[in-house]
Amino acid sequence: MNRLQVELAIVGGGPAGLAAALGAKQAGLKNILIIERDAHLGGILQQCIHSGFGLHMLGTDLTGPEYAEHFIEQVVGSEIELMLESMVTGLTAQRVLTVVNRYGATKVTTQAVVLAMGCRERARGAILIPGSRPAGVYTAGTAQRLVNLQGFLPGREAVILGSGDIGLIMARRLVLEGCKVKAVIEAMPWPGGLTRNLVQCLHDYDIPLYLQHTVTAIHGSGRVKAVTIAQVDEQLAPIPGTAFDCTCDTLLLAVGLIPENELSLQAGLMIDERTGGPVVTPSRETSAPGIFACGNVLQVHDLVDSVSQEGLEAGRAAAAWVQGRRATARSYGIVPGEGIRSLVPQRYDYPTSSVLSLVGRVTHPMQDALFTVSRKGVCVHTSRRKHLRPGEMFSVQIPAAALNDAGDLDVAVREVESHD
Amino acid sequence: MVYDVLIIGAGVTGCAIAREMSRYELTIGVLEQGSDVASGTSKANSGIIHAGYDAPTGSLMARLNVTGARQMERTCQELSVPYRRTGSLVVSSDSQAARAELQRLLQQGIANGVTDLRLVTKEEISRLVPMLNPNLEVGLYAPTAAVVPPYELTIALAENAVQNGVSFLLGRKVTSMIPQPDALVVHSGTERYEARLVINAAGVYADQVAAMLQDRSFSIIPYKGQELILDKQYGKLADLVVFPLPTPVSKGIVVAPTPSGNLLIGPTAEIVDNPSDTSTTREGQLQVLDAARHLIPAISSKGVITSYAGLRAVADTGDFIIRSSEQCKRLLHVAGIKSPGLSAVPAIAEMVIGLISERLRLTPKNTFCPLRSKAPRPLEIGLAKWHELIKLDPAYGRMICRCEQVSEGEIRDALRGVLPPTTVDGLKRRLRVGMGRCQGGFCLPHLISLIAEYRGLDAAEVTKQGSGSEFILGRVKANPTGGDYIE
Repeated sequence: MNRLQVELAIVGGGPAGLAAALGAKQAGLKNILIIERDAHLGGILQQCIHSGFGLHMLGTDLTGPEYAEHFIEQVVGSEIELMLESMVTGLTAQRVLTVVNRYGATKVTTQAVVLAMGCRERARGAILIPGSRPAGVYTAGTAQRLVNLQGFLPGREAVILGSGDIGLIMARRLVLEGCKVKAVIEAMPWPGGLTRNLVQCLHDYDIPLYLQHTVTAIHGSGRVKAVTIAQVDEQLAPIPGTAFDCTCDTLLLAVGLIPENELSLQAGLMIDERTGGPVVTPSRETSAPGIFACGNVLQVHDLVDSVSQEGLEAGRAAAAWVQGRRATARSYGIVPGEGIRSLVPQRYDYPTSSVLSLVGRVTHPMQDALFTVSRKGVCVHTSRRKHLRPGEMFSVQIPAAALNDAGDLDVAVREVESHD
Repeated sequence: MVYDVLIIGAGVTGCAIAREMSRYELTIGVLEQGSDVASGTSKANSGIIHAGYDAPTGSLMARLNVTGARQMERTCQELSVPYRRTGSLVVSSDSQAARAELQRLLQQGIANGVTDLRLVTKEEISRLVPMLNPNLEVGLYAPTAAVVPPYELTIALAENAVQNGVSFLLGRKVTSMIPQPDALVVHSGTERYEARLVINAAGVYADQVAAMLQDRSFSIIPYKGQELILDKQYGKLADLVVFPLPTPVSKGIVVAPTPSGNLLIGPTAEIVDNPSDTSTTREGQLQVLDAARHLIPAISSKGVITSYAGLRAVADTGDFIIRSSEQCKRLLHVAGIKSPGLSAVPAIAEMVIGLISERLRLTPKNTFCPLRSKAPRPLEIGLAKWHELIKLDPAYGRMICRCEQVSEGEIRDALRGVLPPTTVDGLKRRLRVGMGRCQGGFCLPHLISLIAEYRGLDAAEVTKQGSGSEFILGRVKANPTGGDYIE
């Protein structure tokens, strides 16, 4: 077996991993290794050929591959080591990785690890769509890869289940390739994706969006022939008598993303049931000392810009750990309450001298909402928002002055009467 | 060419018979309507090797189950198929009736010849299945029960049969049979085959095959069974197969670990009219989840990675039908092989040999080899040997399926194997590619490309499960002719 020793190993060469490597490099680490499963760096960005990337991070509108290239050039230009077409098959809490690639199996011992494995798509089984099992049922990302990287059309007449961003982007992509997109179906009463994608991908192309509907059956023996669509009630159960059939040869599923945390589980990291990712501190350190996490492995982000930002910070924090600047503060919990679906980080350090930045998602759309942060029943910080939607991540900054005592923080958000 | 034996149906029964017969100097062919072996009932089987206490004493099912289950471990060893002796447990809440039923099963099991079968106390039950619903306090423990991957077993039997000279004629549906004085002529569309003896192992279609010779002595009622597979993270919820008390129609909805470390829950038991109806329903899925949660409350729909349905071939006679046709002595039925059919197959195959020995001269073949030559599987050999393997052939280090950790080398080996898959589903059942938690989300595009490459096809010709199930329906505008697009 091969053996290798590095200061910092980064698992995943997508936007989170690339930024983490650069963050660590800037912080002065010399011996950094990125391990990537694919033959190329850039991760899922390489198949996202639409624009809209980089507006926040780089102040310019780029396609996915262009945005990736911006970071790849810097990584390749520095002395960051790369292992491509290499799969990490094992990780211990002592930060030893097992990597398999065409040169064999390698044990990589490290001083710090950044987990940046991203996420995977939920598939048909996870949402239990009944019916037959023909060809023509794809997750939206798989279809995107077939179209944008391989030049294949996965179908001619599609129904898309799920109005998250990938579903919306693929609806437009298929129309541009001459396919018919008969409907986008969404079980919730509100659309899942960003508003700009709703406008630019559905409205501009007259693609109907069915809210509070779902696909209740798939038909066809060889290839998909039709799907049954029905209205759903508030518990998301199909309402009898509302079903209708829609002929199509393809069903794309954009029904959510799941952080890829098989390695995190192997290493015994504490996992947050809400995000599906590891429990972390503000520096994105997990429950295992010296193991950090960033990007979609931690929680599914809306914008790659915020993934990159998180990656940079996690990389810097990992560098600080290697350089011996380790936290001595005690950590306390940050507990999501009313109106909050997910929250990162889940822990914070006390005492602290820096602003505590929380990001997360709300449970349902809200107008004129008020975030309240309290400790032992006493409100220490509030923050007002005009609009909140589950499809768009919120961020709340808690000033250090508010964190002047030890204890868990409770975070809630609810609609309040407008004072405008 | 005249076959000594033609077997209709390449499910686990047909393949086990083919392999058993390949021990003798016989010309054997297997006709299968699907594009691959194990493409009907066998692919959706629960994979449980039952101990043998369920079937009524004196039935063929009881005798062949107990004998077959005893032979199964060796069969799996010879064929390099995973065999996991998990044991099984029937559990119930405590009542007079439940105790009486468990006692009845125990006595029946003893009479059937099942060994080590015993009633267990509440303490022992919770030691065996710590996550069990605490209200289930009485149980019957059968340590000899096991689990196997049913499709892999079927494929392995078929591959070993091929190695020993059997021909598989796939994608051929039998359309008619005509008896002649010295042979039985079997038609598949325009193709014509002759055989001295024909074995009807056509599963849910066995009555239709019999009817081709005006034999209407039995009919097959397809019983649909819907099952769900849970992520490996849930695999540790049960280390052995957990049954509820049996009902008159089935052994009930079970919770079973699989050889690959997942958890299987199901099946339902629903009579269907159409022997090709393997669709799942919302009611069926919810029924399975409810019943499984009654056994192990920690089971959650969150863990489900896939669901499917299979059809049991239940004969109206209530037992396996293993005998010659009254209408034509050249036709031998091996029909109604419902549960515990999988457990019984090694014994069924032996019994069939006994029956044909009355009609054909059986000369043992000295070149017969019971061992399947199996290409290396890195996950089964351990990291150190995997490393050595990659040093010899780097293709074993290029991972294609992330979830089940399958390399390009293994896919290549399968596509060049003795019974190579022609479809993505065929590849999946040989290697588990695409069977993991992402269900092929990441690897499907690679599998399509690899199948196209190794079989000399265009990607648009690659199918899921045979003609009509193509994945690719065209090209993008920028690249109408195909070829290298990016990379």
